[in-house]
Amino acid sequence: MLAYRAGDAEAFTALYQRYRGLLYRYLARQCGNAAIAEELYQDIWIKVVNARADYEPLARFSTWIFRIAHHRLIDHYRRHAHQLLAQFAPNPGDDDPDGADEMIAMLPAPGHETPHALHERQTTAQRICLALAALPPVQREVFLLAEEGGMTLEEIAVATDTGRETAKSRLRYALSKLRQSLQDLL
Amino acid sequence: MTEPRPDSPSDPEISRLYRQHSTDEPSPAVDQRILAAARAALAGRPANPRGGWWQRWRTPLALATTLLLTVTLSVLHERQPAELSAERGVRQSLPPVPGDEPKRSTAEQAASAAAPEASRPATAAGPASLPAAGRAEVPPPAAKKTERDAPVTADNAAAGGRSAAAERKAAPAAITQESSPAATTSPAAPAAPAPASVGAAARERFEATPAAAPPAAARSRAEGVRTPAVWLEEIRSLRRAGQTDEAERQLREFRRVHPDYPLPEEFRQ
Repeated sequence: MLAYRAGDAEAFTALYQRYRGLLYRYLARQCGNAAIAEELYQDIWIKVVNARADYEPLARFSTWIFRIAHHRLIDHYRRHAHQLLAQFAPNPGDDDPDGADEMIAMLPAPGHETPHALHERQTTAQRICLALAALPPVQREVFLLAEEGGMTLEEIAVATDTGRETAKSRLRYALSKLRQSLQDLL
Repeated sequence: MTEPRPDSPSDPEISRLYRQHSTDEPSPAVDQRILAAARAALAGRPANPRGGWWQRWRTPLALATTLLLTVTLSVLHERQPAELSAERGVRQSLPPVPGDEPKRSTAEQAASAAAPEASRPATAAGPASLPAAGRAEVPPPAAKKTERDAPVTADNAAAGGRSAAAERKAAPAAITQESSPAATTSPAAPAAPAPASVGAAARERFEATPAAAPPAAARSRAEGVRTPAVWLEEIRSLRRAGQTDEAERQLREFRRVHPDYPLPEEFRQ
């Protein structure tokens, strides 16, 4: 990014190739719509281009770009899905395991998307996508940031404006739920 | 990729399954648009170090400029009243400029009219120390002049006011006309302790008047300077000196000029 800020266009191309799939999948899994994901994806990269003059390497590039993506997603939800925005809002009670359990208990049980029903949709990828879609958005986001962005808990906490323990709790519950949903594929 | 810490939750099987089946990518069209936009941004504003410099320094520069302007204005504002008062002090300490003290010349002219030769050294020693021609247009305050000219007039009377009056009468008409406004404004003279000098001055003035009567405008201007009390005192002096006709004439003039002024008992008859 520093090279691109200095005027090296090829540096941007290399950066783009490294993060294009990761960022796109993060967005596609989060919003569940390919067309919207592409629109958001393009907006985020344009923001990266326009913000090159102010870029300072205070953190890893992945943390920076996924933080932009996180805020862009919140903006999207603010416009289109107020109920989802409420779920993205930082909740101090998330550190409380009991509170997290209550939230998980209110969600549809993984058994509603039975492996058999999902298998009928023909592909394992689709099952994975559905399992991810069944996760609470905040848990899904943490999982995607860890898997697609390769980010640590600290970096996830920075990117999502939460605490490290909150990110850790979310990730733990997300993995647990995915394991339950995809048990037959493991 | 950063190595996860030991306490970080992880599930290698889930991660492997997810990565094996997550191959979604953006369309090539989106890729091209984004890369084109990135190149266009570089082509439109290559490096642009000046913009960065300006963005970085514009806030401190604006603050510094505002601070400098404020300090400058404060200093100017603080210095201004002091300079003004200093200027005022200098003006007060300076000798009076001709024209600033209109009463002085009339009184001085009256003194010179009463004693043209004898009073000249006294006036020459005055603060203005201006030439006689210039002093004729610089009238000092009447009250001050009254006190200052009284001894001169008295001396003049002692030396023989009559001869001074005779000299005055023989003076050229131009001089008489020049001093005529002061003659009407010579109420300072009656305030002098010596009645003889008052009579001499009054006689001198009113003897000179028929020869060359002062213009009406100058007369009225001089009457504007003379206060009613001083005028009445002058009339009283004329009566005491036995010049009843002149006193009556002055009284009529006084009533014309000051019709609402309450006359003392002695003038009501």
